[in-house]
Amino acid sequence: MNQQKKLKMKNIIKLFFLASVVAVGLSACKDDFLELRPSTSRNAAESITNLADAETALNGAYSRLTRLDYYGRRMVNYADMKGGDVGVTSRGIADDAMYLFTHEKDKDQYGAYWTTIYDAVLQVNNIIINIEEGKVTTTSPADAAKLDDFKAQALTIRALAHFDLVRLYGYPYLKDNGASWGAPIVTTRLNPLAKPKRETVAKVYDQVIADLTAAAPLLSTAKKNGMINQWAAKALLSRVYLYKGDYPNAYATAKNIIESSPYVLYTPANWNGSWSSQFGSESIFELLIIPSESDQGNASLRSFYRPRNDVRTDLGAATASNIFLDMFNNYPNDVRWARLGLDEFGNQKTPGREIPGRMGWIKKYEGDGKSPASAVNIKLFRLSEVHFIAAEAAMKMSGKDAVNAVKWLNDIRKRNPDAAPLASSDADQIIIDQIMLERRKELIGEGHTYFDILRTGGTVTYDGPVFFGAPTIPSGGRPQTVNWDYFKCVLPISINELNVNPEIKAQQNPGYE
Amino acid sequence: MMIKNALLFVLGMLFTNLLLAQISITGKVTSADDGSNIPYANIQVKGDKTKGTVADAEGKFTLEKISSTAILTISYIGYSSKEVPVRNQSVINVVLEKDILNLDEVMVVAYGTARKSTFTGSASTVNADAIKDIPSTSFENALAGNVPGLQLSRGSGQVGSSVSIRIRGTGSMNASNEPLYVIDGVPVVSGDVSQLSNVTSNALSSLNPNDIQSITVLKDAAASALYGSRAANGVVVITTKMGRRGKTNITLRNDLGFTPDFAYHHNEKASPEQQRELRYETYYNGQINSGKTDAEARAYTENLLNLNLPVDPRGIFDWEDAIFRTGVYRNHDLSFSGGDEKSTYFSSVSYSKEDGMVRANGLDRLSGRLNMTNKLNNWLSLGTNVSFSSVKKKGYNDTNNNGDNYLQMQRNLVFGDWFPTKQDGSPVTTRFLSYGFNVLYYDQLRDMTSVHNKLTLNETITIDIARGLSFKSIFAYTESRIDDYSWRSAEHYGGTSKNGTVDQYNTTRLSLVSSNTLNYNQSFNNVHNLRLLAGFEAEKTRNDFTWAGGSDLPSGMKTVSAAGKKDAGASYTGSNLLSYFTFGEYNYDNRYYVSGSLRRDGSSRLGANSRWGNFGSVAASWRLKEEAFLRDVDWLSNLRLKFSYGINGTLPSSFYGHMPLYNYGSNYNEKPGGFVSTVADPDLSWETSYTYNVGMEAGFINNRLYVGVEYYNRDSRNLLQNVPISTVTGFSNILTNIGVMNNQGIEIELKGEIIRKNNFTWTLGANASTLNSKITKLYEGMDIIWYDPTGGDNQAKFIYREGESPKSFWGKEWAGVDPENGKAMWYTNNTTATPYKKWNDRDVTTSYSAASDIITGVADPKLFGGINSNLAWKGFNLDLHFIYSLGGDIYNSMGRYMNDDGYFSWRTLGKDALDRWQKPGDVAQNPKRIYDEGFENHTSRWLYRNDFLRLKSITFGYNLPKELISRASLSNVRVYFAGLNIFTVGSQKIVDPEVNSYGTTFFQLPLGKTYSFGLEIGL
Repeated sequence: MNQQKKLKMKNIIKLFFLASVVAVGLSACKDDFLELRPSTSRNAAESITNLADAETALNGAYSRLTRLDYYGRRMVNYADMKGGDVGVTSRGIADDAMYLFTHEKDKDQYGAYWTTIYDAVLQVNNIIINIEEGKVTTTSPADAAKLDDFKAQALTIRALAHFDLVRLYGYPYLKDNGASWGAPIVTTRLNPLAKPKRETVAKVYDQVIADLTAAAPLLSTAKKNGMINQWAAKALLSRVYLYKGDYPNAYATAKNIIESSPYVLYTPANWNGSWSSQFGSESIFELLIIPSESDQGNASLRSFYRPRNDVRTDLGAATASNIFLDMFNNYPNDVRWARLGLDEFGNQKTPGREIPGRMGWIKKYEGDGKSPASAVNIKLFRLSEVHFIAAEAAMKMSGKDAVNAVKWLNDIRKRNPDAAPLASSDADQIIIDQIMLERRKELIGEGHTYFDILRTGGTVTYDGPVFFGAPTIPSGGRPQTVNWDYFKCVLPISINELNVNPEIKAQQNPGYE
Repeated sequence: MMIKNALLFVLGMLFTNLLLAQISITGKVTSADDGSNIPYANIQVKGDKTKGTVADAEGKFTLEKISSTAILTISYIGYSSKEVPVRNQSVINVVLEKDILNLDEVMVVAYGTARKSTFTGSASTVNADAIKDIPSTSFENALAGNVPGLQLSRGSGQVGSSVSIRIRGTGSMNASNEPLYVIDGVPVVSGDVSQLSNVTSNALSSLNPNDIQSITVLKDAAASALYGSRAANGVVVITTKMGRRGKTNITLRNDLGFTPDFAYHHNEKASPEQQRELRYETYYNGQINSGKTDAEARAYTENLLNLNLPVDPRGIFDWEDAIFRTGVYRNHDLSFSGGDEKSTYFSSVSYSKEDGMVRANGLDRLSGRLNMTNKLNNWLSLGTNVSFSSVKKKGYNDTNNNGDNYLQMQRNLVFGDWFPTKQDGSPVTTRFLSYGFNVLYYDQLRDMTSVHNKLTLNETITIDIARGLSFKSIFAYTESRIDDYSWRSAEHYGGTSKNGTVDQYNTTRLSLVSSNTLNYNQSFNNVHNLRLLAGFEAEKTRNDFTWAGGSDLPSGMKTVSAAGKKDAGASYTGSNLLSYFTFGEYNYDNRYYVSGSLRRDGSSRLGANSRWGNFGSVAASWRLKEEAFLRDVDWLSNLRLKFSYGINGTLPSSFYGHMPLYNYGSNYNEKPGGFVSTVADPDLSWETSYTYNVGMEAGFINNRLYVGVEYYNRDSRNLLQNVPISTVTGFSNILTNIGVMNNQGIEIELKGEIIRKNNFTWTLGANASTLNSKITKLYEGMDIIWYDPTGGDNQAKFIYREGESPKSFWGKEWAGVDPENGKAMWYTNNTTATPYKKWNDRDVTTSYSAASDIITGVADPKLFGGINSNLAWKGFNLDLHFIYSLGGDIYNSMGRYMNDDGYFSWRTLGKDALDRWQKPGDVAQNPKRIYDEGFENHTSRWLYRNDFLRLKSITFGYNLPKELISRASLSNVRVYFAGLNIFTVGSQKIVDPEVNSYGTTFFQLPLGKTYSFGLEIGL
């Protein structure tokens, strides 16, 4: 009996032990044990639910513009390297394939333009579509206006992105009135497995203009550092009209900016200083490059242009070309010399490459007061450019306005104290040539030259057959002059896109098939 | 009442045996070898776990109240176990035979142990002996060539870098291909734990190899299916040492090793004179090519060389000597073990230090362990394993870069004519003409370390509920803290723009595992043997990341706190797993075995639609030798057939892959920014693999010769694929379950005791595995081109294509050099390119871009394995362990840099570049050197057949005679010499044949050749 009791007792203890051990083991299994959420992200379907979310998404979209493969560097130096006024000094340093036009059909060189820009499009569409679907409700008229402004900024970025795509991948509008292939237009939420096709250049321009005209009235007219306001949208719109050859609209839009916006041109005296500070008086839209956010450091435009022997990290990748310097040497007292400096060719070790006193260092990205200095804002739209747009359109439109054209141009020509003012009575071609020349002098290093030459059907001439002073010619290079008939004047659709989007294969740019 | 009756009935059934006649037995266990006593052997009554004892120090044992018809199982480590029927005898003396081939050992498998000779699944074991003497902090070295079907590779020869293991091929494109590691019953983290980019820190470096008792590699589904959703790539089950009943053993080990050199050729550099000669030719040809006269070209080139390779009065600088050193390995290990009837313990403390061949690389490890078992009473036992380790790894970025990579610097970026110091003795701080930085100066200005501190606590409770029925619960707590540190001074080229930078990353990985199993083990009538297991397991892991960064450092300061500018970040991730499983095994008369398992897993990494997965296996084996018709065949000592089929799974690597994500951190204007980052398939699910395995094992002449053959076929389905989509969508891919792959192979293992005479034994073993991997289905049948993720810069190019190996190299087919003019030629492999000429009856082109890509080779070998030879004579032993590989290809990404045909201006070249075309008629490996030409990648020019045989490890040891050491009251003294990667022969003499799992090598450090000496003293 006692034995039995003992056995019973032991079994109870055992059971108790078992039960406690099992309970401890099971305690982990709460209902949400298998429901874990990330700590730094949220479900994309719930990304925008209120005004603050929309603003956060908009910041994200701006940040996309600052990436290396977009305005962080490569969208800017593309047009300078290909435009003949900037030369690459050696192979294999940075972006030399663009200078050499070695982009090929079966390679993905610089396919990152495409992916980076469409990524930006995705971000702004996420904002626009969520707002249009009514995901954000506002309670006050002030908030409603804010929301409209956010949406309009997103629309402007969408327009900029499509315009850049069509500049990189499509032939200039005026070559065939936009009949050739531009880029796929994305304004909706795409199915992940969608295989979008390219639209004609003309259709892309239409979309860009539609977005910008829709955006402009919703945008604030006040200065907004680092953000798009109405004047930025209009500056882009006038540029688009100019590229399209719609001169009356380019003229009207640019004129409106000159006359009504709060921006004023730099005086010759403060032109140089404008490159050492942020948000100068004529800076309409400047992308903010903050050290902790989007500074490209050793890959920045600053490093790209800095002579190699200056600081141990600098690439010495590019200098102003001989063609440019030969031209600029004609204007020895121009204030804009202040932003050219001695390059590395003074103490070259390679025979035939030493040129003491060569002023090839483009110094527009030397720092605007932040640390590190490589965090320099990228000036996308300046009033000076708007003056050029207005002046060029004024001269080219039917019923030209030479008086204003000359006035707008002379405002900038003041930066060369030796230049005699042009007169509206000067020959049209002289005025137009001077506009184009002044553009080169003013905008070097800011991503314009190549597009400016190509859009009007001009011819780009490069320094030598290849690198500055290099002893031999590499295989597979480009000719010494390039115009819009050269098949490589536009980029190929990258092999990666062709592989996954077979229908776009038939739309590859001719020559790259 | 009813219930009580039923219970009594069941209990009554269980205790039926008690009613049989009971007797007492005494006996002694001795060794067949020399008749010596075997102390502490295990004596167990078959089929009754509760009845058994352990022999004493003299080998004597007593058993009371034993059924007169019982069968005793006597076992001892290192000896073949033996079954002896009692048959009413009261004295039973047992003679055990040494189990030299380890054919009958007990191995640790999923949730339990199994006898190798009867295990229905496919598994291989590696014992402490094969691990302990290898002069390396990484125990994984012992696995290569010792486990059929297992491939081991290492991305970098830096000490402490992580190791890759493939068991039976590659089963996934996107998720992990690494096996699951289980240490003492608890799944652990493996792979790289460091947050530093381009420096890996091996999680398993935290384990002291001398603490390992055995490693079992579970290969087929029957063996591994109990681990369900993580077992598709196999399971590596590691068991640490336990104490044994008896007197306390104290063992002290000291090792000292040296790594003076690399293990094999590795893109050796040509001599300074040859560099000059090659350089001259490059520029001279370049000049002639651009239309200069001979005189002009000479003048130009001589001038150029004089300028850039000026004669330094100090002579030639030996960069190789300055950059590399003799690596030193030190290990000090102290362990205690022992126990009594109630409890056992094993305790160790060890310190190892491994200095790599590059001074920026080294590893320090301090580790300790205490494994205890305690039998509290006749139904409750407790086990506690506590271990800690602190591993400090110092490393450098050995991907392609011209500042930090020591191998690249020495091989490719510095001429002997260039000195690291100026004539006045001050350091050269500017870039060399090659763009290389002076590594000897800059490495004083940087630091990169990763410290991994790990604490593990495993508590095991075993409750014997009733006869044959027990409950076991393991609770494991593991906390790993990884502190990564990176510093660059303001003078360092990488720190100068920010005036010095310091980054400190802290990762805390917390893992809680609760594993609970109910075991039932019983024999009926001595012929029906049944084992049942049911369990549940919950695993919770959480990783917390914090980062603090600083810039603008005051001179001499290296901490974030001292920095002028500070930045920080913190986040966490988590992954939980819940599992229910059951396993059953039945055998009839130890002849017919069947087993089956089921497991249901739920994971937080999947969406609610597809969260739960079911896995399982069935297996059977037949011991033919036990059948009447073979029982009397003397020459055949064992014959067994086995078969298994099962389903396993692999989870996505991504924790939140089923969710479309919107991320933050893309800030603008110092305000938060968010962006849509991924598009997701809400039905994302497990990858599942379906494996069958058939095997045969045979033993001959008293098991002195063993032959094992296995064939496996693994279909991996629902493979996760990052399906590339049109980037117009803003995304580049979407993760879905789509692909199918198949791996099959044959594994043959031979082992034999060649000689066994008095004091001399020689055993020889060899294994061979074939591997045939094939992709059978891809999204829409579309090829996927991908690049070697290691080493940087997309060096080697691969293709996933249906019907082809997942390790297929993709690129242009090299045709060689035209002897007429020294031009490089590629086979066109298309009809569109205008052929340059016919070469070997095929069209070739001199234009790289005109040629089409084809599959140029396959990284995986067709046949691989190992050869082991163990000689023992008196106190001496000589163990040789070879690995070999046949039929694979290796891609030398470094080749085009060491052999650039003239592309680079001022980089140094390899010895292989000497064999180049110079004049018409030259049959040369390399084209004419012309400045600015060449440098083509992704071509079979850099692909070599990689057949090799390597003496992976060697041990020569001597146990001092007992008579001698007993005078100093020592129980054991052993001196030994060990070597690692001592000798290699290969089909190519250009790069080390053991590279990463992609079969490629770039500027990563190759493996070294290590010699070490050790002394082991037992008290």
